[in-house]
Amino acid sequence: MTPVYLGVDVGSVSTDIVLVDESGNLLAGEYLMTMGNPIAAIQEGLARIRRFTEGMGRKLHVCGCGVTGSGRQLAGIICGADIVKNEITCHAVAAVRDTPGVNTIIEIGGQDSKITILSNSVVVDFAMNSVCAAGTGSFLDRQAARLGIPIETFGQLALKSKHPVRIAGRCAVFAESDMIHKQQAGHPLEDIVKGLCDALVRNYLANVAKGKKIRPPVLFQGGVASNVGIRRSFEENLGFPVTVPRHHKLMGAIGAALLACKEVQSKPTAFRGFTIADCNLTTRGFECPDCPNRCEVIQLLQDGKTVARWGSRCGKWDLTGEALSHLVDGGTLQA
Amino acid sequence: MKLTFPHIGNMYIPLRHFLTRLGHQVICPPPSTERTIGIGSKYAPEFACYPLKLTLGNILESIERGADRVLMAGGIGPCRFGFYAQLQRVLVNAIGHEVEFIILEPPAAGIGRTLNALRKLLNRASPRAIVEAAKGSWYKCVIIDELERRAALLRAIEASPGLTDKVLEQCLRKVDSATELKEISETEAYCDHAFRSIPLTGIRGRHTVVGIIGEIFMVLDGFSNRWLERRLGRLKSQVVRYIRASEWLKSNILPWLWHSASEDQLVRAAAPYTAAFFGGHGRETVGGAALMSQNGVDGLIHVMPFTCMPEIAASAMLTRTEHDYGVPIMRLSLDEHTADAGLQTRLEAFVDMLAHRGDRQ
Repeated sequence: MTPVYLGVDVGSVSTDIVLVDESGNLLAGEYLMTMGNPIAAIQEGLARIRRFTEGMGRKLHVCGCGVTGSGRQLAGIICGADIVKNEITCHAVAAVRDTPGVNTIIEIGGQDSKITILSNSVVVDFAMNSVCAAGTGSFLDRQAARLGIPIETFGQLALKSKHPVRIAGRCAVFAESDMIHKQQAGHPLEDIVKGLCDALVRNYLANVAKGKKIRPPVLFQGGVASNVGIRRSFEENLGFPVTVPRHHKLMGAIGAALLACKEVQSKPTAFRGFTIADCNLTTRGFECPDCPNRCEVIQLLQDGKTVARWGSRCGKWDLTGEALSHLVDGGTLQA
Repeated sequence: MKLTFPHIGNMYIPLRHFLTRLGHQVICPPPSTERTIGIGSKYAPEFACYPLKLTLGNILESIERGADRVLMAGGIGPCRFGFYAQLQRVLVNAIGHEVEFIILEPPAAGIGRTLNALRKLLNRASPRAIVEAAKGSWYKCVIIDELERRAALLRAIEASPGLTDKVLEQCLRKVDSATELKEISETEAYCDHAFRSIPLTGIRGRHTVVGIIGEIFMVLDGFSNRWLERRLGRLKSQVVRYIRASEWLKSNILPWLWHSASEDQLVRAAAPYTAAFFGGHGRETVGGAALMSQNGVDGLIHVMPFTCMPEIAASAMLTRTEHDYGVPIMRLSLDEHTADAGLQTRLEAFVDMLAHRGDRQ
């Protein structure tokens, strides 16, 4: 039986699930849209991973499970995670494994963008966009949809531009009105798209990187790294090449799996097994009326029975997911 | 007349003691909640900073409970806070509440105004009663500062998560209920014993130590800073800070009676970066960063309300202490958010980073 490690990254836009082996090689990876339903996404992802490994011809045993992303608490309860880690650390762990000498990580996801500065493979500084979503994937998605361009070809279109227009990148609202103005003035689409890529990069460097010293090698990770237009704008602006790792969309999940591998060296895994993909999991929220904080408490129900509860400030409603543990099937995948 | 005042951390305890002992009928505002900030933001100007909105909410919630007199601090520095008492008076009256404001201005604003406010506060109590009330509330303030200091160190090493906060809560209640001077000084031993009985993890070795600097209201008020010290404690970080309510009292209310050694130290440590006082706690922030970096903290968190002028100025100077001492600083500019996910992610990543940097050295 080959020991493997599961990594789950529940982001605002996508949910990524990977399996890595002991030496950190990617065996399987799934990239799903969260679509506002992280539980369904996790279940679907696990089911796909199980189906994928069925064809591999060898028996795998999940020895550890790590979760990350903005939905990591929920994912941790559902999966029975050995480690629940923030996405900045996970991305850095995966990046160092991909490119051992990496000095800078640019990560742009669905709702937020981050910069991480490393020195000798250790994170020494980081920053995250705190107020504005102008430089993130959701905004690009929206603009692509408005222009009627599939997001997959958005970047390619930017590369065709010869005279990019200037677009305000500081604020999503300003950027959109600028784009509409240029479009009505008759500028070709590729020049507008390229202008938007330049604006997003300018905004990122001014508001997220904020004067931090960006030294090569630079890795560009997260969903937006698929966009060749943005990558080109980064390279033009920085004056050196920017590398997009092969599994750039899955880096957070890979980092979580690698951390889980380290975590379970001294203890058995808490992973609940792939049968969680088959059970009926729902959530229900209620507002606690006991004090004016009016906390929104969330309950996780399995087949109609409450198995976990969280979200209260005082902690009185908290119930950890221990009741879920009878699901454990040893994490074994049949060959 | 029923007197009230806004919250700042646990300072309602000494304040309530002081005013009650002087014979006032005191209405303490209910603990700050989402409702408090909701009411405050509804009536406050949008561009004002968080402390104005929250304290306005406190005042209005006390008025709902029958208060008709408000004690609020004034000020004359470049920080907008000095203007807030006046603004709140206007806002509260415009809402239609007939409420009297007692605004305690520093003597530098004109000794007559200070004396006038004091006369109303002291309520014709006998000199002996005044001294006793002042002493009692001062002791309470010092005890609470010490409780907070110890709790910030213990949370990271407690054996059962959350116990320190339960003990802290219990001690605060004990301090709050003591009335006579003798009783107050006895609570000190009680609290000491309670804190000593908290079982600790056997894990040896150094823990990550995080220093907190920044604007005093946001630093002292747990609700406002999203319980930053508790969050850091849960992430196994010990927390230290120079900013204490008792130090503030020493250097602001009665500077000619007491001398704050800590205040002097901070000003001296800030000297290489700024010689000027530029409002609020900006200079203390810079001095605190330099001093704590020298003392070997692993990282610093700079807490301020969004749009705070003195702290924005200090933040620019902090890039130089960061460079001089190599101690990373995370800036936390806070406003009325309810989603804590982003804050939690940044704190976790910051603590991870500090731990890894520490391992390497």
